[in-house]
Amino acid sequence: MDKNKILIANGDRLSQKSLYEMLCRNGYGVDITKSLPEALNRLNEIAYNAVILDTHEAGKEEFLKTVDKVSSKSSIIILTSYGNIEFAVSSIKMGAFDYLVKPVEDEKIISSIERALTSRAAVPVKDISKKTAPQKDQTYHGLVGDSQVMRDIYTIIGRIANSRATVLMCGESGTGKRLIAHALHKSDKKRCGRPFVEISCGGLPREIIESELFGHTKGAFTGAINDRKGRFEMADGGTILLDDIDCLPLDLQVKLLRVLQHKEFERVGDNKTLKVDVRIIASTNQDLEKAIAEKRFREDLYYRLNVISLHMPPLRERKEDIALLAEHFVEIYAKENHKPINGISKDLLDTLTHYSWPGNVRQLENIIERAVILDTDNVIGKEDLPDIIFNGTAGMNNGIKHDIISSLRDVMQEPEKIYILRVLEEVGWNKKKAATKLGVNRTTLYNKLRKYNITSGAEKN
Amino acid sequence: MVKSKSLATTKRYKRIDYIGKRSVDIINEMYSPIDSINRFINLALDTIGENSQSRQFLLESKQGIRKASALLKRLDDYAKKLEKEFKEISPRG
Repeated sequence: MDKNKILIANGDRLSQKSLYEMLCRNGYGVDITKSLPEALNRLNEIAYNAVILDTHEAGKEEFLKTVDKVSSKSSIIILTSYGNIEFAVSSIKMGAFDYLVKPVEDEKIISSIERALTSRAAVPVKDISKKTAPQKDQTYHGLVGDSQVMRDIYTIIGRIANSRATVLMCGESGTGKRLIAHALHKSDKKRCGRPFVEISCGGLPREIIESELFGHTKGAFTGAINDRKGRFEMADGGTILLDDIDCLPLDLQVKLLRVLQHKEFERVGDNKTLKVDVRIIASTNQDLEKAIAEKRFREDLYYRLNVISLHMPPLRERKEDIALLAEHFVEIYAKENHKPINGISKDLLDTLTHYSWPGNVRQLENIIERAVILDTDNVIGKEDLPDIIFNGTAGMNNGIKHDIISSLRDVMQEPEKIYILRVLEEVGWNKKKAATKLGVNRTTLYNKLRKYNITSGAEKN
Repeated sequence: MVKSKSLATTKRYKRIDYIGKRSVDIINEMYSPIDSINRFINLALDTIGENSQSRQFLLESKQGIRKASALLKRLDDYAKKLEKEFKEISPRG
């Protein structure tokens, strides 16, 4: 019986035949493909334990792309006649398991295969996450997701990318609104080579935000020792993201309206009118219509901004993307922390899928980063998760069991409130630390505290 | 006059560069059949009797392959050293 399935990809006939015979004699089940595309097709159909990729100097780039695609499915052993350090490094970086230079003794190949198999066998049931690694069609300019709602968003981005339309993005904190803005910018043929500038309207006092947005001249106010360009000028020809647009003071909303209508403005302390060609993307995690009703947001600005509206769904509404996102973040943080993570356990994925994710994708990212750092056995498992994930899940279930029938929104808000409270307790009610830990900015945290009527004991007194 | 001399030097360097690169390619391409032949010899040795005369022939072939491989390796190392030196020389002469 075959010990393991090996695929020999690429290479000349002589090389393939000799490897085939040698590996068969050593008890492996071996298949051969003549080209890299053929190898990719075969890998989609059959699960191989290891792939021996034979390569030539020509077609290196195509080869490395193949390594990148295949490394999530099988261990890759590169066999080459060209002993080249740069190429070896690139291949290993792309996910190859080993790099062997011809002529190579049979024992060395067998040893490499066995090591590759052992490293995979260490995670018998657990390495299922590797099969769900984001493929090219499951990502879009840094956005990761294969759910219908994400696919719809990719389609909309594709359609509006090259238009000049202003975009208003709504969605809870941590859902990836910033990434959408980036994706829009990168998809815009005219603007992608130009600056992408972002500013959070929530994090700065009124005077500073005006100067930040529109710039100032020397002497315009105390401390203005030089002329300074504002973000709109910096973004000329490109895209500007106005995050937390609901926090923009009313008088500045008028100034922004003028930029939207006429693409012109003046620096603080200057009469000279400047013209810019900027695509404006605004984002908020608040209900702007409610803000209009409360006279906190101008209705005319809302309609100007809301030419195209994009709603970023919370993570709990696209749970089918959790595995993909988790795998994506594991790859990022494993690389960043130089940890040889082999995969994610199935148990962990189940736990992640059942959690309500009040902090959305950002919270998932933080939890995966923490898990990668704390991991000791190269497999991210339940033991690497913080307690909140288990308590949060239980808390939510308890909420559903309540006799009083609540709306979905109320049920979903409960774990968010519990989580915020827990983090606040952990950091001794230091809002800055809590915001950092929660992965949201301070304005968002303050909004949440207001929304849930959360105050510390000291504040109550 | 100086310009045409400089052009000729550049051309000569380019030609040497081309020949060098092609030679390295050939050396590297040679490794592949050597690797395969060596593996086939191993396979044959596995299937042949201990006292067979053919075994001796195969072992001799294996020695020959090793020698060819060592020669190529020396040539490869020399070419790589030259390539490094060549990169340091300005083609403008």
